[in-house]
Amino acid sequence: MSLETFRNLIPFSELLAAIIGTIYFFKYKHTSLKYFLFLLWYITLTEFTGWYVIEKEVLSLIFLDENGVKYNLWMYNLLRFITFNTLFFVYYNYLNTKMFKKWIKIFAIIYSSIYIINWSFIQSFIWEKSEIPKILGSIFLIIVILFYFIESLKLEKIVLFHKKLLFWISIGLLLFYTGTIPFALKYNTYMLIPGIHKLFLIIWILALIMYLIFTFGFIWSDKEK
Amino acid sequence: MEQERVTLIILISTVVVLVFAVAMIVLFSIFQHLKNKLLIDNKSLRDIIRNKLSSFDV
Repeated sequence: MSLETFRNLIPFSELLAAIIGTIYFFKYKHTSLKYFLFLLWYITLTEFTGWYVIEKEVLSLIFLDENGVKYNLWMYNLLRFITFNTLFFVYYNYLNTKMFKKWIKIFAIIYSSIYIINWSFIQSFIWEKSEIPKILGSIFLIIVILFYFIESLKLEKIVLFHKKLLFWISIGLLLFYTGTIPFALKYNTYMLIPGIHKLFLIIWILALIMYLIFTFGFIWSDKEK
Repeated sequence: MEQERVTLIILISTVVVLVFAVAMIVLFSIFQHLKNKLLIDNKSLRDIIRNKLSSFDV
């Protein structure tokens, strides 16, 4: 299997997770986890649109540099901004501990501010992947997942955690966002080194694992109360 | 040379952070399992005491 084939599997794993999530929507439609499904569909849509605009050269949605290289990075930069904020929102609504909620709010504000500052003064929204916000967002998200774990452990009742959808979502997110932090460091510099693209296989494997965990979680979890 | 150096740095740091993530998940699962077990034991202990107390009442 070539690297490119492997990369092409990811949008389909996202689509699979979104479809399965929609089928099992009745389990969590009354909780904030419904926003997670909307996010999954948005990610899938961006992934397919991103591929389509490059393949078909939809000039109104892509940018060309002086060498004629096509860029659709703005779609993914926007996607990342929305992804982290939606995830913060989902955990914010799901958790009950006031202190944790307060911190999630602070994280969301800091993250959004840094993202906007980065776009405005440090990195281009169109030509570069946003490195600093990605690292910051990942670290904040890991902390938020820790909050969820701590709250779950503090609950004085028996929790069948492996039957909770958010547990599986958290595991998928944790593996992907911790594993991809090293890749975000100086991404725009090292990606120009010839032959480095083979290394991206790790990101793609982690992404595939994440979406498969989401899919499993949708099927395996119990209906939320 | 540059490619090898960058690859090695990224690989090592990825392994380190992934070990951290997996350890976190494993620890959470173990603690959650222990907590559930303690709560179940606690409940059965409470039931025993309650039964004993009611028999004393009688």
